[in-house]
Amino acid sequence: MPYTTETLERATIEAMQRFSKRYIITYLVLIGFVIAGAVAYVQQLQDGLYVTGMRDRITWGLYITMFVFFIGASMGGTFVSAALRLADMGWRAPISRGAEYITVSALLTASLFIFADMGHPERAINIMLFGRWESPLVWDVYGLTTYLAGSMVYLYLAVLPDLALVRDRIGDKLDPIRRLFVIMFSASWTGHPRQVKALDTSLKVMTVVIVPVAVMMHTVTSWIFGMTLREPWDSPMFGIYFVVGAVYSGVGLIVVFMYIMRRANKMEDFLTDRHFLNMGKLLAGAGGVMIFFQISDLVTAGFKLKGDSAFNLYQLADGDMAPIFWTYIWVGLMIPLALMLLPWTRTIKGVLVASILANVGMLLERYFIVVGGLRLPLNPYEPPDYMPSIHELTIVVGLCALFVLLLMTMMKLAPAISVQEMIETGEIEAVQLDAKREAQEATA
Amino acid sequence: MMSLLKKSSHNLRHMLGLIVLVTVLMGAMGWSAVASAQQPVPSINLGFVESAIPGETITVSAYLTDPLGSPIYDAEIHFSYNVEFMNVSDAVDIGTAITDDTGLALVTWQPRSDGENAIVASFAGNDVFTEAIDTQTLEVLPGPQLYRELPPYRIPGANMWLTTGLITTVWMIFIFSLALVGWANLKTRNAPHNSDAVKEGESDA
Amino acid sequence: MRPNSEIDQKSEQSPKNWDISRRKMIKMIGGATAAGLAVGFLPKALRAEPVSGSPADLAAEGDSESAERLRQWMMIIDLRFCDGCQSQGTGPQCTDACNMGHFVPKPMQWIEVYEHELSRDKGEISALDSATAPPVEGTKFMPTPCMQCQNAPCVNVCPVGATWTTPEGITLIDQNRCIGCRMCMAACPYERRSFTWGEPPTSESADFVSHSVEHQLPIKKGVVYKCDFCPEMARAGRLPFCASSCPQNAIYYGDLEEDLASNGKDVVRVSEFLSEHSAFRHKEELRTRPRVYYIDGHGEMAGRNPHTEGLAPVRWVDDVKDGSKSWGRSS
Repeated sequence: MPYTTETLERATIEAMQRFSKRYIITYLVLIGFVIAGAVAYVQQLQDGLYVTGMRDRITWGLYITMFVFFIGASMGGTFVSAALRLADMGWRAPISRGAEYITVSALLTASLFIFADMGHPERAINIMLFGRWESPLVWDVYGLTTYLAGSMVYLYLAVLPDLALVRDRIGDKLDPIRRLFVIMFSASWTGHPRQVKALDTSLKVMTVVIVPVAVMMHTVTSWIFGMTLREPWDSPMFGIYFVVGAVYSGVGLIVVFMYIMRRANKMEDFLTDRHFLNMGKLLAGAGGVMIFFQISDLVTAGFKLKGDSAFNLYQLADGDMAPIFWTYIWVGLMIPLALMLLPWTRTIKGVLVASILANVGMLLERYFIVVGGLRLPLNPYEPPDYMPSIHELTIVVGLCALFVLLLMTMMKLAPAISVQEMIETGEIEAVQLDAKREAQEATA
Repeated sequence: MMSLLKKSSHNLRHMLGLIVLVTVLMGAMGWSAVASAQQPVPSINLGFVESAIPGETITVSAYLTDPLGSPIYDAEIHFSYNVEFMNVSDAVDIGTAITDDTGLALVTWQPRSDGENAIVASFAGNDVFTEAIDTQTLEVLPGPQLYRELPPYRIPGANMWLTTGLITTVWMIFIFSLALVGWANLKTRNAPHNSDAVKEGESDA
Repeated sequence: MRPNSEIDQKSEQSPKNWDISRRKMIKMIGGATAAGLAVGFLPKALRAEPVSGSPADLAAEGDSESAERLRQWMMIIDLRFCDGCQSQGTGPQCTDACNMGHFVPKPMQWIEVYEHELSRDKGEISALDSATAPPVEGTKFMPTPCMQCQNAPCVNVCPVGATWTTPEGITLIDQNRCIGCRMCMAACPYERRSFTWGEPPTSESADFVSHSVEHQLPIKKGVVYKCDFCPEMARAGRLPFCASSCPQNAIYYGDLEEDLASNGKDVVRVSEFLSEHSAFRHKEELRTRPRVYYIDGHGEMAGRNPHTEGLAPVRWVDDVKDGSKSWGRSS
């Protein structure tokens, strides 16, 4: 079957219109989780952060861990979309839409986690009124909002032609909400050369700007920890460490999303194993750099055991955080790298498993950075313990469900594969060649 | 005869006892006379400027002289001043000095407390002389702040202007991008164009 | 696979369109910087009144080179005399007095007495080697208030300026501005700040005090508290609760400007006292420039045997409010 623009358009538009039973059930279940999280949050507002497991000694816990995790997850979107566009890699085309969705959803969810962690969320406006530019938290707030705004603009510019396509093809067949949405946001796009040129210019500008914004954003997030005097956090490496970790977990999350979308929307034709393998290569590359950073951090500290670094190393290698640390190293770093290096696991399923493990590993890594860093006793007392409470877990699950909800909603608002980019980069022909090659291999 | 000898030796013993007693008594009297003969009381004269400001180095001097006015040398003079701090009255050390040949002992000092400082010079006494003490008041006038902290070092330029400038420039670029596309869309909203030709041309690439 | 070759051709045909975009681009970016500076003023313009006593407040009044000499409060803790109140049979009385005087909610201890091992290597001598290992040297007690750092990490990281250093060198907290992000707690290298996780278990009588940044009452939920060096008492010429309650008079409260310190019994000249006894500051290498000096010892002047370990429990106010919760130091 020849893959043409028409086939692609039909596939994506059909995917938008199809509300399978699985989709609806998942949606309702996720809404249930979100409501549960909201109820738990209302109780937290009434009783204070007492309902969490955090106390004076371990003062940041699961909320900040998830915040950093989602910030990291958001990096993947930009990196895949913008950096690959800068490098003129055509294979990004079917992935970039999903990646951009993930960035926007992850950033929104991350900012909600910050609100969940504050003792007085109603005073958040104080950051605007009394914000101190010397504070790493203020840098993070403005970095996050800038990156979110930039990602939204980038997503919008990329999705604009596709919204126009939807409007032209099925505009009158859509339900009123989506019709209004599509008509409003397609902004009278007609494909006129002048419009195309303007869009091209704008996308070029945005691409160039959004990559350093993304890198800066993750660096200032790391400086929330890096600018303190606590020994496990007091490292100049934190900036680049967080950026690479973000790329690693972000790429992994995109792979998971791609896989689900591919299966749910029957896009097997357009998301071939070539795309997955390229993502797998990215994953392996980022994972390799992460392993290098881990080694250089731990070996240099472990050689000297200066000051408090002995405590940190012992708690990670041998002590209370050892299960988490070693799971991260083996399951989160080593196994995904092995899966990508070994030829017989270099399949779509292999990349999927590697990505899931990478994300699990990165979640554990965020946990032992935040909680492990706070565990180091700064005065003579026993290392404190931290156990997340049911409330905390409910709110965390609720917000994660909100993240997935946002993604699912966005998938139905615009084509899940960027038709415009597929055409632009000539990826349709590439996909055709893939199919031809596969057919030849099957007959051979 | 024996009884006479006994009697006389008895008397002698008494006599001896008496003589010893008297000698001892006389000796004791003489000794105490010498001892309690008025030990000379020296006098100390404190000297310093009339007024000073806090932090200004002043010299506090004390002359130690005997009742006849001759200087006493090689004596230790202890200087202090009386304060009331946090409702506790106490004498705070300024320093100690040894008198030289002219009986002069001096220390340098920077007064820190405002107002009237009661400076005390005291001599603890030695074999020859008893103790002596002198108190004078130094008027400390209002002066500048002495103890100043340096503010924490700040990275030059990393301030409000740089940060706001950077952030807003980036936001303006976002708005510019949107505006560019919006402008182009609005302008050519109703302009006819050969969209099919454009599409075919692109898929040739 | 180069995209948009059609469009490149078209741009060559009509350079006029590119020129318009370029002009617009320059105009926009030029306006961006100007607008940026204008928008940058927005936080300052919207900014409400600075907290009284803060540097912003004094700067507004134009008061920096006034003739009045400012106190520079500091503390000297003589560890030769601190025996953790073992000789008294009570818990540390400095902590008790502070907790009662400030209605500190359990389990906070704004001044906390920590028991430090005299032997630095104790944690690294394994049990197997203990037969031949050097003998454990005993412990010493170190009352640890807020260090009132002059390069305070907590002040440096606060996003809303809810904590600041007064011109007299004391670090205060404005609980009405604090948003409860706890970044200051993560940043303090001495771990001297505490958070009210729930409705604080403190006395109801504390609620009737009108709020001032200088006495941290009434105690509210969801904000940060710490030792504040009792600035109102100091200004009135009274020693803080901890200094006046120490049975060994081990805590001196003083003024670096007047170079005097008192423990309630004696007055000492700070500069001489510190140099004579080789005073040190806690975690000096971090360069936080704390105002609390220690004279090394292990309670020997109070007749303490350094091998007597252990502190008796600390007390808090008994009459706690209804509906308040008590929480532990860790979960």
